[in-house]
Amino acid sequence: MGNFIRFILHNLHFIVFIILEIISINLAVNFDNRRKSIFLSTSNQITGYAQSHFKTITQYFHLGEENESLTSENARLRNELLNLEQKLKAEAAHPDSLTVGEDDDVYRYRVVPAKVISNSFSSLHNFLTINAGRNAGIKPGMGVITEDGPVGIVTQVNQDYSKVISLYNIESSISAKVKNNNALGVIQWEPYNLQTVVMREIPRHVELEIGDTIVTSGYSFSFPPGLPIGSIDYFNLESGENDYTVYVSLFEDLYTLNACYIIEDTWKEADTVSSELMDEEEQ
Amino acid sequence: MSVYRVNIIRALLLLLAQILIFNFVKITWFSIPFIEVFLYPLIIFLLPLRTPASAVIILGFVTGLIVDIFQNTPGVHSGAGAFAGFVRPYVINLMVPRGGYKVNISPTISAINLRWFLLYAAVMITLHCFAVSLIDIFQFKLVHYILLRTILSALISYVVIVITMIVFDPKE
Repeated sequence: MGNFIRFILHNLHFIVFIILEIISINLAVNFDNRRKSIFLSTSNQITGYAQSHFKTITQYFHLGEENESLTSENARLRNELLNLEQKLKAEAAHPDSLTVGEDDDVYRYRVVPAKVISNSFSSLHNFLTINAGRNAGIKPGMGVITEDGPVGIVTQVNQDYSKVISLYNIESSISAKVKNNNALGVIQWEPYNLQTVVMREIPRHVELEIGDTIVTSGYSFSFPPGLPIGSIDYFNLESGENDYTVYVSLFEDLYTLNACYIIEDTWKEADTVSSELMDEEEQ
Repeated sequence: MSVYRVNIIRALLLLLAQILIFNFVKITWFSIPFIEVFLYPLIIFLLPLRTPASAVIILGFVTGLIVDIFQNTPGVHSGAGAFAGFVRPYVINLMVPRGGYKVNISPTISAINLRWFLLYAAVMITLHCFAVSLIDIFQFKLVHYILLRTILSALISYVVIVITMIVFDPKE
């Protein structure tokens, strides 16, 4: 305390100077509009600069929430997009029909957002785990996609988690077609060949070109039609074979997978019921 | 006469001269004064050497405030006066004449010598004018303008101060 008082007394003139300067500048700023505006704009600039930089730091803390809200927003938009695409196609197919699109087929697809919890590439049977399960309305057979294309198909469903058979699994096969000429094929995986998959069962009379886009066919209840998968990397026709072997490079990078969407086809149940009925009729 | 009375009378006379005459000598540029004549800093310059540092600062502030009131520029001259009072001891300590200062004198021409006073007044008036320009213009963007105004005002004020000192030649 004694030291402090001694310090004050020793630097008294400096403290007096600072106090008087503060008073003077306060007067100078408050009694002159030009100086006031300069002061305000300068201080605004400084605080704005500081705040914008502070914001860039603090926004990292909210990235989790931000991502979550964006994923759900994406899911909602994707949902709408898929259904509107279906509606457009239906209307294009039947331009005269007034009834098409008015019933519930607009809401054929429902999209659920999820996060990838685990993902493997090293074995022949690769699976993903996602954090949406029975509680989120997930059922086996639903397709899992990202914005760049399909990822896999749900095989097992838990209370809160689901197991997804990855594209990189020798047992997975996805029905696909060439976008230009609608030539049908099946996408499969050749082990340990990441970023490319093989498309088989395209007959030899079909004309293919390198760079053609491959999309989902829609002949299953897992994926809606027209979802881009990849582009033709190269293809060959071995002698004696009837089918092409087409190598497709995927649009999406399964390595960096984080958020994904599960697609529920609400027609599936109705269709399985009707096909069962048909089976019964056939019998 | 006592030291107090001398300094009070000198302060009153210089303030009167400043307020009644030199406040009207002003060349402006876009409503910002460009060349001004300051005689009142002489009050601060000529305070006795042994005046406590805080007292010099407060007196500089008060002197400047009186000029401000009559010139309607609150804060400008009071801040500059306090600044001049703050730097005065350092300037005096930097330029000790041969043989040192006498005990408690006012740093006038006759008390020390003309050469010392010319240098002392030049340094002090430049610092004072710089403080005035800085507080008045208040924008570091206009630093060239601040410096130009400092130099021009300081030159004219310096001439007026030196003439005043030579003509009246106060002993204390």
